[in-house]
Amino acid sequence: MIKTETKIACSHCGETCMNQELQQDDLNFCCLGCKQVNAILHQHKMTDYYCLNPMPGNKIISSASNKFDYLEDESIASKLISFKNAQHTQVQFFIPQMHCSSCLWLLEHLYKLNEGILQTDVNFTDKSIRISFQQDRISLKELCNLLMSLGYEPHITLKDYEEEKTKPKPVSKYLKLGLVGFCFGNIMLISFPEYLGLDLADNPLLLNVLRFTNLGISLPVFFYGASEFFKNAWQSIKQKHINIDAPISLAIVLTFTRSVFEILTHTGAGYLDSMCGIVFFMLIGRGLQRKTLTHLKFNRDYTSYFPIALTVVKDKEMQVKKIQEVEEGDVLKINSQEIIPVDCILSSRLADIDYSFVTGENDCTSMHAGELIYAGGKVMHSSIEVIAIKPFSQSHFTSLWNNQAFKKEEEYKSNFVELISKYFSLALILIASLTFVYWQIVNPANAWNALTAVLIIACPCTLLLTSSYTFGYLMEWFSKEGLFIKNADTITKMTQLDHIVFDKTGTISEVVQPEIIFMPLNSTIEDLRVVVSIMKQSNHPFSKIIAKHYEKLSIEEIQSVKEIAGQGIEAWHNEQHIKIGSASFVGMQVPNEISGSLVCFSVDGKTQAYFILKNKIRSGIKELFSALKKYSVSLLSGDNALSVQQMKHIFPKDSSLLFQQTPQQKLDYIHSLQMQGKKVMMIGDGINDAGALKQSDLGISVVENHFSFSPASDAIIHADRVANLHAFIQSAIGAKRLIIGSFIYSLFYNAIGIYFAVSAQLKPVIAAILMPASSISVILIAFVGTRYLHYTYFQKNNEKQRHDKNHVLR
Amino acid sequence: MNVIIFLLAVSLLVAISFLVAFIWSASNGQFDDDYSPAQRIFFTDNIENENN
Repeated sequence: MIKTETKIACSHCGETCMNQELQQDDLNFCCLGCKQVNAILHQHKMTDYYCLNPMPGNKIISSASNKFDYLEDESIASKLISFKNAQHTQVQFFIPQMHCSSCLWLLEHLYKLNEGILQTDVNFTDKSIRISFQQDRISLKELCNLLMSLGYEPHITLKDYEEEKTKPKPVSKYLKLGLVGFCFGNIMLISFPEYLGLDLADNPLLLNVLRFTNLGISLPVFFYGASEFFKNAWQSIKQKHINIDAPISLAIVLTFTRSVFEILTHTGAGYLDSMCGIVFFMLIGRGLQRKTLTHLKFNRDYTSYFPIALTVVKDKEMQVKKIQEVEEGDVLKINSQEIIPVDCILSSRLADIDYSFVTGENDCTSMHAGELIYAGGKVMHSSIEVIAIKPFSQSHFTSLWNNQAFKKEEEYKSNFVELISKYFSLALILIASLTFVYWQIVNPANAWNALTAVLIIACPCTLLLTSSYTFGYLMEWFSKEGLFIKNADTITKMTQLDHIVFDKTGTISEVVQPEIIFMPLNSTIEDLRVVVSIMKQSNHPFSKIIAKHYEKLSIEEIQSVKEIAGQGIEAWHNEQHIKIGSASFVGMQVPNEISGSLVCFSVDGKTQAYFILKNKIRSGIKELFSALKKYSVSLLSGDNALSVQQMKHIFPKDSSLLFQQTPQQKLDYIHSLQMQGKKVMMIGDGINDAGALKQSDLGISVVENHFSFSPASDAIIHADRVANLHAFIQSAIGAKRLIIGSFIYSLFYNAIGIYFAVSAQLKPVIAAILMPASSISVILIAFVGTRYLHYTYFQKNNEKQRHDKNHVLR
Repeated sequence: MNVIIFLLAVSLLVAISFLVAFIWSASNGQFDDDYSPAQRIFFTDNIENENN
């Protein structure tokens, strides 16, 4: 099949152009917003923006022009401003849309667009921007409007700014690493004469100078570098359980004290080199694992979705009020495209409210004056006035967040790595005490020496190394494949699942109106026109969709229409009897294998035709379900049961499909599964899934593009990568096996070390060889192993797809 | 042999001066953003071309 239709991409943002009218010179635009930005940039000779990257822009989403009015309120604005004097102001914004060097260029050249702007500093990694401007030339509000008009709307949540101010400036993550690495290298170097056999008898002065220098250099490693292990260990002991940091801290403390003792008593050089080395490698591993994706926020709550402040009408005057301060009885003015933050009563004559934010269902409802509007609806078309009946915190919508699920602190569950470490430590203590007893009998002089040597050489450091490097590398691979993981524990959780719950709209299907396929059979266009006219009068969701699809057909007045609930519509028009509804109601035979919802009609029982309504399913979803055979799956949709047939077709036979679920019901369903002892993973997009995502053992939120906002979750996945879910789970399971495997391998080194330690002949040089050898080989296994996992579960797939594509093209 | 002690002191002094330089640059935020500095170098070039 060859598609003759060519898609024209917008010269600004690269989206497909639906409208041919927005052409200028040889440029095409998808919307007026994109065209305007292009014009502004041309006018200011800033076309470099388009030279750096092809189609770099962000699609301009129309927002109310008075969206940033609240910034006129001094108390709100002052929270954003980091510095202010008589002439200029400095402010910091978070701009998640920033994605390429063109963005960087444009934002750093803002001064060309407005002479009030003095300087902009972009931090690309944090997606933040610091702007200095002259407040008498451009106000904060105008600045935000300028950014918004360019497609870089700053994301402002007061909570972020408050947190920013209270937390101390973070120390660069490289500082500690660099310092410990420096100490490790120098100690190794200074220890060389001793490795090569410099003896105390040869040159006592030189040897002592070397040893004391080592001791001095190791102090920052012990007190600063290793401090986070001590802190973690202490915290876990306070919570009455032992995590992996506890035995490691013990080993570090033991190594250090024994080394200090040996150096002070001139009996040996100690194991400072090994200690610094292991701390260094462990810090790198921890850093790799903790490599935060600073621009992704995993802990958003509902407040990020609401406007910060509202316009309150009081005595015919407009006032800006913070959302938390809204009281019962306040008259609020809500702009088009804004989300209604509180339960309220409509006082304007008419309003169109879109509840897709809450239900996920793409449906606009019309409201009349006096009707109750629940929080979470989005105002469409024109701005409205409402009277609040509940304060923000008590609204129907926000009450979801008062649920237990949002209050519970992340309770600590030990993962399999810690389980292994527990047994390992027990075995180690057993060996150490047996050694001690043996030497007490044979030669008491060696007893203490052997005891500490065993504990030093065989600490579970390699276990920590192998897990942190494997998880760290895997997380990096996952983010390249479009799955962003909050922390390493999430990967462990992925290996323990047995039930997966999917949301429909936005997860399995794309967020667009269902596709309509019309099978005319023997009907004419005249019949269709009459049928659509009848449907226009019905309130059934199917009718609405079909009527909207055929908007352009001229409509006739139909007098006698009878709606039979649950079956269909009957109508008489021009001496014809028309029936619309299910196949059995209309009385016709349709092929069985239709995947989608059916609407049939007949005219006088002779002429027949039917419509098929199909949700656009993401590609690869069907294959995903056949791959996920091991898991039970279910569907939780806020949508109406319109697509039941189609979903039944995709989902495995025995899975439960639930429709018209409220956010609360979704949460409860997950909870009931967990009560049955199941480990549940939830995948969903909208805020309507927020409760379920939080309640589930592993919540993954789906985003269309990497800068859109997602509800609080453990991981964020790219919408077009949902189909790869099975590959992600498989790699996580593979990673777990890898860790166990390489740990068993490292036991081999431990066995050698323990042999020397038990026989009381552990020389520093042996420790100094064994430690890096085992660490580096374990790191190598993690590096190669995760690469292999990525290759088997992703690369092969991708290659196959590429091959298929080429094949089709040829 | 004792000259090694002197050499040790000198080499440590040099090494520590590098360490101080590193600590200064790390706490000065030079490692915070690893993307934009590399890109900025292209920008000025383009503007100059435009002016010519």
